[in-house]
Amino acid sequence: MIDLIFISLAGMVTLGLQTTSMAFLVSSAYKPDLMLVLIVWAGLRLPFAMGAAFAFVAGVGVDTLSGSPLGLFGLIYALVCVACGYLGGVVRIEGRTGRTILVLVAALWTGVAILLARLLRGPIGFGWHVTGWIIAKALITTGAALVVFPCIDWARLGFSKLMGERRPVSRPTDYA
Amino acid sequence: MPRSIRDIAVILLLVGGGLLLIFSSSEDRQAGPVEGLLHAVLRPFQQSVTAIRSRVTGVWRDYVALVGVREENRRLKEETKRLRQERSVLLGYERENRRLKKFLNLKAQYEFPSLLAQVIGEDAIGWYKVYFINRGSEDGIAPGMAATVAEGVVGRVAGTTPSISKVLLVTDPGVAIDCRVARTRDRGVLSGYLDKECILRYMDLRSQVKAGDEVVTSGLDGVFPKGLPVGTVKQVRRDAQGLFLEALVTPAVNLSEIEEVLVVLGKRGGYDIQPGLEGKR
Repeated sequence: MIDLIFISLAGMVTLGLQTTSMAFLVSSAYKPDLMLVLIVWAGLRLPFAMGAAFAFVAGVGVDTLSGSPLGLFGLIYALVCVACGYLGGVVRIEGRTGRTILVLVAALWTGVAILLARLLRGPIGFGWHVTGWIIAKALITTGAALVVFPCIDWARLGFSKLMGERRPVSRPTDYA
Repeated sequence: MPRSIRDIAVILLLVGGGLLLIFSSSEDRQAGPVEGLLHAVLRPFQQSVTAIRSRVTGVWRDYVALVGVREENRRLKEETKRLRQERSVLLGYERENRRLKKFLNLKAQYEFPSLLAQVIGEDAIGWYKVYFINRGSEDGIAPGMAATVAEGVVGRVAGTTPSISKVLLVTDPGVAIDCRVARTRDRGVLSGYLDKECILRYMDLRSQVKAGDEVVTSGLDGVFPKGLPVGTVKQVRRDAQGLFLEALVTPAVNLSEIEEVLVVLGKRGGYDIQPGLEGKR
């Protein structure tokens, strides 16, 4: 239950930050996808079903605040969360490097998935400028994850202390 | 001699002596020895007193009287800060005023009803070129309507809620606008390029379009009024299949600086007649 409350609050804060403050830091086209970082975190730390459900709902939330067709981000984020949960169960992803690679792959997948979805609707003028954009955006998101991921861990730890929880996380892997 | 008579005599003597001195002395007379002696005796005292008075005045002026200066300085700094803020606000109002004046002129140009809306947000993640505006279906906005500014076309309304609408910008591939090259009158379909430019597709291979040509709306798509500036041709090339010419177009509007847009409230089906006269088409 505490996991659910925490991830819901974190989702709302992330959505708020994503739609407001991020525009002050970088241009709109290159702003980092903080929600994706949270989804990867949820995939690694939360129970499988809860993480996937949250990812889908968060994605739909992003869809409403974006130009994407409703459900696109819901689907992409749910797949990211499921993949992260699966990888977290099969391979022990510990430390900054593993998480960073995971976020980078997830960000690249998100970019490619959106591009494919757009291609289905009509020509988009695919070229190096698009490839470069996807890679640059993925790298920026990965850079943001280096800061954001420990922040979410720290916030979760603080939240669990605040709520008087004995067990700090649902899946105690590599809490920083 | 009685005392009263003596007093009167003294008074008369003094007054008379005084009068005598006044009437007997010339205006540019030389000082006498008595006066010289008097001045010589008094001068050191006078100089000392003057010097002391000067010091005291200096101390008063430089220190004691400056006790309130710190407070005054703080007050003036606050006032300066306040005035700067006011100036900034006023400059903002001036810019807004100038923009709104342009919109008023633009609105007067259109023969169709239009609605001014404020840009309140952009795409959450940044994968789509989208702005959110503070007017929705309750204000009469519907998907497919054109969003413009004085400089030209901004985009097309892609979705609405009762109070907010989503505007897809011309730089997004999801937009398709029927356009003409103003000089050659060649037609093409303009859409976004996932970059700062747009691309004008499906132009005849015989077209004489070249870099620098202005691109305007044709008015044939039933969304955008005819003749609105869209952009300037940057580069012309054949498309991948070699069947048509396509041109990279730099948008006429600096999309990153937009704060308000004018949404053209018109029904789909063309802008070749006045609103209200649709039945007579």
